Amino acid sequence: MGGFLPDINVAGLLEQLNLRFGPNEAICEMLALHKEFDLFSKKHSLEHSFALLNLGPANHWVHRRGWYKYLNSLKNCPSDKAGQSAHDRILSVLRSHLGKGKPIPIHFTSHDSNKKMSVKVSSSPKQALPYSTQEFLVISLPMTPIEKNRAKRRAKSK
Amino acid sequence: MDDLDLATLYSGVADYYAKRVRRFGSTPLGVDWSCIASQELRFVQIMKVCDFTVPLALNDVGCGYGALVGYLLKRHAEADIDYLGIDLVKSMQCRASQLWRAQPWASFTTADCIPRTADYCVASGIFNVKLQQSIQHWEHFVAVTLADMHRASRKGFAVNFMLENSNSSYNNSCDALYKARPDKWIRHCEREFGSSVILVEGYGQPEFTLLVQRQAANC
Repeated sequence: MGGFLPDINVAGLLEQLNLRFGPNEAICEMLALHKEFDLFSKKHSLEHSFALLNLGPANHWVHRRGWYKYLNSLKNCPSDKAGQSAHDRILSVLRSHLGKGKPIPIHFTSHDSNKKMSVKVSSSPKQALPYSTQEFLVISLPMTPIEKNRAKRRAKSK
Repeated sequence: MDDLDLATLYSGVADYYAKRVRRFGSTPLGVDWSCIASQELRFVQIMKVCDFTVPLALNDVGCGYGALVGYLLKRHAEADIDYLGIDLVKSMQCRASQLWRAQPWASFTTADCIPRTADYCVASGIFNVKLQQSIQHWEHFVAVTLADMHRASRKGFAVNFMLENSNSSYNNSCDALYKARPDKWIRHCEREFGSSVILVEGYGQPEFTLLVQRQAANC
């Protein structure tokens, strides 16, 4: 994952996000938390908001720091909205989505940043899971395979 | 259920939380909450029992590492509070005392009953993890604890319970949970203590909070 944390941890992180923003009680809890604490306001960074929600590797501080570095790296990453970074786009989408009365759950996924550098947000509800009819707002995070990053770093250093 | 059974129950609970805090430290996970935000959302509900416009003494039953102190500093910084955190686990008390040593209004003790009378007693999450206890034994513990909180409260107390029939598998770290219906414990508090009970629910958690206020004649 771009050298921020081991690839094997990414699925677990996405699962954490999908459980906490998932259907029924999960999205209701997130709605209540955002309403009470303004979790995704402009005054918070994504790192801060996710730390408050304990969304990240819980038992490994190096990995946790790597996750936060990744979230902060999204500040330098474009989004599907002109002039808005991936970091700000995610916060603004979460803010506006949870500002609705009854938001649908959110599904987090990933895509290869070499194919599309920006964060992607679905423009309409999607059935993100082949085994479910549940509709989600889909947020896809750009991720870089670590080997390619290393190759780039090597190439740059030469 | 006799005192010996309660002592065994306290010992089991203390052992469980001692292991949690040893593993996760002074964090929400250390007291079996998923995160700071959901922990504090519960504090928002239970603290509705308190009138912060006048000085108040507060007992926090099952205080853990004293997360409520942090919440009070953020949300009620202007309030005049005499806080006592009480926990079964000695290592929790040590962590709490260390963490909040700069707050002279907050103190901590280890006990299985409430050692002083205060305006309010609050307890968040202490009835949720019943471990291997039978429902009957756990409900005896709940009843004894509620009676103790009533005895030690001049104005009222607040507790929360997980809601029966909830399906919150996304944030449970333990299967051995106690879940209840609000009416059972509302009736209990009204009948046993002659108190008026306000039910707080629908705050985004699969649970409910009871604000139990003493009737004027009972003060």
